[in-house]
Amino acid sequence: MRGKRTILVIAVAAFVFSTLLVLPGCGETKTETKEPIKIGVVLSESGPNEPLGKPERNAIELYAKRINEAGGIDGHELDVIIKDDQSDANKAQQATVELLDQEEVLALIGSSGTGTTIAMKQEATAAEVPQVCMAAGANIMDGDFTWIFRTPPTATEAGKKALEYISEELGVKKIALLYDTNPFGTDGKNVIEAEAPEYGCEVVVSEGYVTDESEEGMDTHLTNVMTYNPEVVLVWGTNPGPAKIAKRMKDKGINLPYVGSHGIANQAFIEQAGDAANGVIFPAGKMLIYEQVLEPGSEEYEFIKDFADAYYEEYGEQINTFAGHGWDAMLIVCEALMRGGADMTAAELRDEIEATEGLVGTAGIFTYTPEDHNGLTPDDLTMVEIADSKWESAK
Amino acid sequence: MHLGSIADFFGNCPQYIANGLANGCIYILVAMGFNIIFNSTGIINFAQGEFCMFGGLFAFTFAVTLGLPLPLAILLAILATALIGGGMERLLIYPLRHASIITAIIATVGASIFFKALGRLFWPKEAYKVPEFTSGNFTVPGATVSRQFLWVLGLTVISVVLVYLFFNHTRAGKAMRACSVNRQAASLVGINVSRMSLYSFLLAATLGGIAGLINAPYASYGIGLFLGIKGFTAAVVGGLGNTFGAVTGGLVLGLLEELIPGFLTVVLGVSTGYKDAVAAILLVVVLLLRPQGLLGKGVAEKV
Repeated sequence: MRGKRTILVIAVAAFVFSTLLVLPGCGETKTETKEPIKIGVVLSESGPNEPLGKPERNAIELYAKRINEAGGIDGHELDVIIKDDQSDANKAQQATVELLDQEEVLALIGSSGTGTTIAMKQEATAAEVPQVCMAAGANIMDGDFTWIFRTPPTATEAGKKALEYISEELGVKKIALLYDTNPFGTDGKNVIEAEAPEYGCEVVVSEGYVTDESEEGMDTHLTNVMTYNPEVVLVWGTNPGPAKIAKRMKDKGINLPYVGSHGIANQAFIEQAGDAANGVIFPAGKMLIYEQVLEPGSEEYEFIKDFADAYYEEYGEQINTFAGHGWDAMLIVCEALMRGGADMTAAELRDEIEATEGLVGTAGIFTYTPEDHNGLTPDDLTMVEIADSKWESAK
Repeated sequence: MHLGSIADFFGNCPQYIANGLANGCIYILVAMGFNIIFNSTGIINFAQGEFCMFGGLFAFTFAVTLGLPLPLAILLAILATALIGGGMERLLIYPLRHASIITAIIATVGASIFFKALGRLFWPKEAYKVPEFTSGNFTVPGATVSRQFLWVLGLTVISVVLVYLFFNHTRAGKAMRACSVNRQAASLVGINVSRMSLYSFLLAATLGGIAGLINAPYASYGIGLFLGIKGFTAAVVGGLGNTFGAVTGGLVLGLLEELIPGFLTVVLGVSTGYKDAVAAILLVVVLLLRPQGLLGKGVAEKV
């Protein structure tokens, strides 16, 4: 009996407080007279994609804060509404519907992962509201991509960059491809197998693995591909699989170059592979080693440096790739708003985003066209080599 | 379509066998965990894989985060995992002792999800590197084997022997087996059924913890499902509840998992990339042809 009453009291209190919060005037007092511009954000702050969603949120909030401190866009404040999709496609879809119906947002940003992004795309396309995503899956652009744009590099750019390096810098032809059977790995496999002939290379064998396999399991894959006498081992996957493969290659004394994907462009790979990480080469956004590959004073260098400093000052953390994707997404939406004016309709904003050309971001220089909503090219990536457990330019 | 040579395949065989043995040992340990709980309670514990997860993650915490000496860290990790197993039995399985077996099995599914969430909460990264007992590797003709492999092999053999002796030559072990045959009869002859259930969870968690520790030196919150399915397959293939069945099942699965993809890639030139399918196919084939498992007996059991 007592328990029931307590619950009732709590419920009533919760209800009263929640209504107080949404009543106008109970929150902060608004000073500006112009309507705020509403941008809806859906990202994965919990669930498997949490490591992506958290830095993305940080970057997005910081970007909005800076815009608003500088007086907003044409005097309109940015109102960024962020929802967590828990890395779940259904929740991403639900959050998108809420943002579109209840908040009537002008643009959408999200999500962190490919599955959640596709769920959002369905709603954004139906509502004809532009969406800028931070996920790299190839199938995001399948079908009608009128309303969706992308900030991260995809397997296409990274794959071409890796192949270019293999054929031009290493000067070898015979590739053994080991790919993770997850979507990231199969995207890479499709690109590498399709593009290799363009670069005068041949994929002599490609073998899938599961990232949870033991080192011994990875050993078998290596043993299998070595019977094809490859000249380079290309590993396309996300941690920890590539680290296990690197370690076993070293153990077995396989002295072939190890080229990885942008999936290992993180500190975790170096931690997991230990000594075996040294000598591994992979494509990555220039941001990773911008101090080495970009000229101080160049627009790209200064842009990334400004982002890195601001991010560090706000959160006490170094920037990472995902924070960069969030920053770029805000950049693309806000730049389009500034060019076209704050009173644009969603359709006009979409057209303005599509007209983005030569826009310097963290991941590279964005140029969208009606045919291409990915925005980046292989030239936006650079080859990174791990030496002494640190990232160096592979050139 | 590339047709490789049979000679290449046979040349690789020592390596495949070494790799298969190493994985097989892990599967054996997980399978024995399934068996022990099944033998004393009749429950299939779906959280068995998560015990492995805890073994590896605790080892990381004690050895790396807290910087304890490795032997102590390993002992503590096994102990902590055993305690989680015991706690699970007391808080979840014991209250369900009067419910049907299927209810308890569903509860273990819930426990598995809960444990995985705990793992993700406290160890959110995709992989943690657990120090190897002895690092480095050595070469035998035709294969490179890590030194860790010797630990894997040794610990598995010791565990199998101890578990066998326990179940067949000690009072407590026999009492545990009696519980699975008929709980009511067992308690009528004076066996403390609920205590046996607790022991079985402690033991299964211990074995799971060991498996998670020695499983090639990476631990992650997601490994439970992977190892759980493999261990369960090994247990069923060998014959659920049979210690030597677990050994047989584990070895068969471990070896086939390396040999079949090896043969496909090297000889036939087709890389499926679905090594996991070997376990699934093996499970279905065995269930169709020999539902009691390779070494399974009939239903009557003499204790």
